[in-house]
Amino acid sequence: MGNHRLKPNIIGRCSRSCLALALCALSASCHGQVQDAALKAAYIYNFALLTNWPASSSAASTDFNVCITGNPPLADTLQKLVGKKVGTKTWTVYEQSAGSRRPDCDIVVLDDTAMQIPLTALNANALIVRDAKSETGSGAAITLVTEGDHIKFDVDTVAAQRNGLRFSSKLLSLARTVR
Amino acid sequence: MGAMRCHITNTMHRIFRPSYSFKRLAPLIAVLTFGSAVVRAADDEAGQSAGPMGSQPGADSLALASLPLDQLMQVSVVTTASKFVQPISEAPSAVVMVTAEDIKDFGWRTLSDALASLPGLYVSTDRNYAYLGARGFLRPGDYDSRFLLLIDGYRTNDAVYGEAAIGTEGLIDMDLVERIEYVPGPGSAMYGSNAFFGVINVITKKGSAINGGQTAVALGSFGEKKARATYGWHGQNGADLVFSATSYDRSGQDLYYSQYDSPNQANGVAHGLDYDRAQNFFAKATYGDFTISAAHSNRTKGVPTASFGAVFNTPNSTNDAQSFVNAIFARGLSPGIGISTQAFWGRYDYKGVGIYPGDSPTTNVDGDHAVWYGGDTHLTFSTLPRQKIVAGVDFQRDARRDQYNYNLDPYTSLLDDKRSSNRTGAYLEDEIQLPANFAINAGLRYDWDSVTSININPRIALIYKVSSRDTAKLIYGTAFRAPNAYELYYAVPGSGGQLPNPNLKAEHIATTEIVLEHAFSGSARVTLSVFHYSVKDLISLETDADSGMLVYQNLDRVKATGAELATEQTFGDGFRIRASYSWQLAKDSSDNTVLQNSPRHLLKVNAVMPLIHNAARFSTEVQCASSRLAAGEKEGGFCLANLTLTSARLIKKATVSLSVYNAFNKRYADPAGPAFVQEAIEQQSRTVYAKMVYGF
Repeated sequence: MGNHRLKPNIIGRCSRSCLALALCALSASCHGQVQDAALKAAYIYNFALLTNWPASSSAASTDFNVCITGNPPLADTLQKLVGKKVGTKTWTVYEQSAGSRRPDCDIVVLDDTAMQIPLTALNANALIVRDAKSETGSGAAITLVTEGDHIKFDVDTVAAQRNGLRFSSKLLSLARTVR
Repeated sequence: MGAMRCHITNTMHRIFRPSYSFKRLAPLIAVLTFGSAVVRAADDEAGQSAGPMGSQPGADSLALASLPLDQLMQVSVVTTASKFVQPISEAPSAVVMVTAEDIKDFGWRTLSDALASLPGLYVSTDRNYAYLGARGFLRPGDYDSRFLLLIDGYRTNDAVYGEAAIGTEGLIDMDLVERIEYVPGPGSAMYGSNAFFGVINVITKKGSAINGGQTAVALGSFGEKKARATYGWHGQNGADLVFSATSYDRSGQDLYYSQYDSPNQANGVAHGLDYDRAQNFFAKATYGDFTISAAHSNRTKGVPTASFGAVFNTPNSTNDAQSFVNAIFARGLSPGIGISTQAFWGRYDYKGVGIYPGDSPTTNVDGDHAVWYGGDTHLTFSTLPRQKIVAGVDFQRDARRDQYNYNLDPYTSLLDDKRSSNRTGAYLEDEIQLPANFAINAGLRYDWDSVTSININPRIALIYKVSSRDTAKLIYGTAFRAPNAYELYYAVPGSGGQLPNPNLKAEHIATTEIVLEHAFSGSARVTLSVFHYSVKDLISLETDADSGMLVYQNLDRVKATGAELATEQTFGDGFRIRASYSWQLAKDSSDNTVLQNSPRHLLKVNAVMPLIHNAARFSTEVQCASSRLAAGEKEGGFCLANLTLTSARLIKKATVSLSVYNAFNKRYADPAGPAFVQEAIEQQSRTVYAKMVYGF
C-alpha cells in the first residue's frame, strides 16, 4: 500500500532505510518510520480534533492553547504545528516551567517527571495527555505509550468526564485500552 | 507475544488495580531516549506530500498531523541505538503473556491451546478434559486443581474438584479474551490454595475493543461448527458493555482402541461417542468505578474411551455446567491509596452418565453440585517513598460441596455426600526499592480453612538490575493446596470403587528459582530460568492394600529440577517470533523414579509472518515433547505443527482464517490415568478449521 517518495540520495546513503525498504518489500504495511516526537505531536493534534470541550470553555478565545512542561523534543514538534486549526481556533503552544502555569490551557501535555503536579490545580477543562515512559501513575485522560515500534494510547473516560470532556467514538475505538 | 513486556497488571497483584496507582509489577519499563536518527517520509497514502524528514522535520510534523489517527497508528517509530528497553523487571516470577492478537493469529480455540504454547507448560487430553502440566508435573486424576484460573480476577476453580477448566468445557469463548497472563511458580503468598504450580489470569475484552456488533462462524473437520454473536459498546465516564453468546458442536469421529478389540465390543471401535457440544454466555458492564461480569457455560462431551470401567461402545457422556457473577468496585481514596472490593458467586454442576458392567449392565449416574460465594477487599499504598504495599483479606463460603452417585434402574444410591466449608485469608505484599539497583518483592499470606486449618505461605524475590539490559532475580516461595471434596469424600463401593479419606492434609511445595533476563536493542529479549521444586504430602491416587480399592493419600515426596530458556523478538512490521526450550526432571523421592507424563524436553516455536503487504498473516506453531512414561509403557516423543493463515482484507469488515492443526498428521498418545484401561490415549489427527469474524 505504500507509495514511497524517497529521495534517491537518502536511499543511497542510509543503509538503515534500505533495510527498512527491503523489509517493506517483503511484508508490512510500509508506512514510513518517523521520529517519535513528530509522531506524538501528530497524535496530540488528532486528539484535539476528536475531543469535545464543554461549550463554556474559553469560548471567547480564538487560540487553542497547548501547554507543555519539559519534554523539549515534543515541545519542538508541537511548535511545528502552530497555525493549524482546531475547529475555528488556532493551535498555539506554550512551553511552561513547573513554577508558572497558564490557567487557560485546552491541552496539557505532561511527562512522567511532571506527575506530582496536583491535576486539579490545572485548568478544569483541560485535556491532560501524558507521554508515558514508564508505567507509573496516571490521572491523565489520555496516556501515550510506546509498544514495540508503534505508538498507542490508553484512554481514561472517567478522568475526561471530570474535566467535562467527551471523546468521539472513533478515538475510543482506536485506544489500546479504555477505562 | 510482542507485547509480552507490557501491562502485566492483574495477575501478579489483586484484581482491577485502579489505574492511577502504580503498575508495580510491570516487569519491564521502557525507557526511551531519542537520538537524532531519522529517516523517511511519512506515508503519503492520504495524498500528503511528505518530504524526507531528516532535512525538513517541520514539514514532516505537519504532514503527519494531517494523517487521520487510524493511519498514524500504522506508522512505526525509529528505534535508535539509544532506545533500549530497561528491564527493571519487578515481577517476582518469569511472567509470560499472550494477547488477543496471538489468539487470532495462531487460531487457538481453547485456553489449553494458548497455554500449551508457553514455556514449560504442556497439555494432555483424554477425549474429554484437558490436563495442564507444568515443569514436569502432570498428575493423573487431577482436574487441573493445582493451577489457579482467574477470569478478570475471579477464582474459577470450583468447590468440589478445584478444577481449572481449560478445554472446551471452559467458561469463556477465546474470541473474548484480551490477554492471558501466566505466572509460573507458587502463588499462594498472594492467592492461597490452588495457586500451586502457577496462576493463569484471563482478562476479557472490553466493549471498546469490540465496538458494535460482531458475529463469528467456523467450520472444521469431523463436523465441528461454532457460531458466536457479540455486542460491545463504550460510552463516557467509563461506561462499557459486552454481551456474547457462543454455540459449539462437534460430531467427532469413530475411534479405535485395540484394548477392546473383540467381536462383542464392536472390534474396538467406539461409534459416535466423540461428540462435543457447548454453549457459552458472557456479559460484562462497567460504569465509573464499578464492574460486574457474569458467565455461564454448559458442555456435554461423549466419552469414547470407556473410562472408569464403563462398558465399551455404549452411551457415555459427561456434562459440565458452570456459572459465576463477579462484582468489583475499585477507586482511589486519596493520592497514593486505592481500594478494591470484590464480591462473587459461583456454581458448578457435573454429571456423568454411563453404562457399567454387572450381572446385567447398569446405567450409573455420577455427579456433584458446587456452590460458593465470597469477597475480597484490598488496599494499595504508594504513599511511602520507595515502597509499594498491598494488604487485603478475603473470604469464601463453599456452601455446597455435594457429590452423588446412583444406579438408575433399579434406583440404588451409592453416594449422597453433602458438605460445606469455609475459608479465609489475609495477605500482605511489599515491594521495596533498595540502593545499588536492588529491589525486594515480599509477600506473605495466612490461610485458614475448615478442613486443613492454618497454612502460611511466603514468597520473596530479590531483584538486581545488573545493567540497563540485564536483570537477575532470586525467588523463593511456597504454596499449598487443600484437598478438594472429591479427594476427601468421594466413595463408591465395589471392585474398582473408591474409599474416602477425610483425614487428608494439605499438600505443600517449596520452590527456588533464578531468573536472568536480557533485553537486546529493539524488542528482542531472552530469559533463562533455573528452578528446583520440592513437593511434600502430594495427594496421590493410590490402591488400598487391604481392600484393593482406590483412595487418595498424602504419599509422595517429589523433587523437580529444570531450566527454561525463552526468547522473543518482534521485527519489521509484523514479524513476531517466540521460542522456548525446557529441560525438566521430576522424580519421586521415595524410589527415585521419574514421574509419569513428565517429558524431559519441551521445545516450542511460535512465529507470525505478514504476507502481501500485511494483507494476510501466516502463523506457524511447533510444539515438541520428548517421550513420557505411562503406567507401564513409554509413549514416544513427538513434534506437532499447527498452521494458520489469517486475513482482515479479503472480505470487507471481516477477518477470515484457515487453520490446519497437527498439519503433518503426527500420531502420538498422551499417558492416561488409572481410570483407563488404555495406557495412553491417541491424540487428534490432522484437522482443518475455517473461521470468519464479521463486525457491524
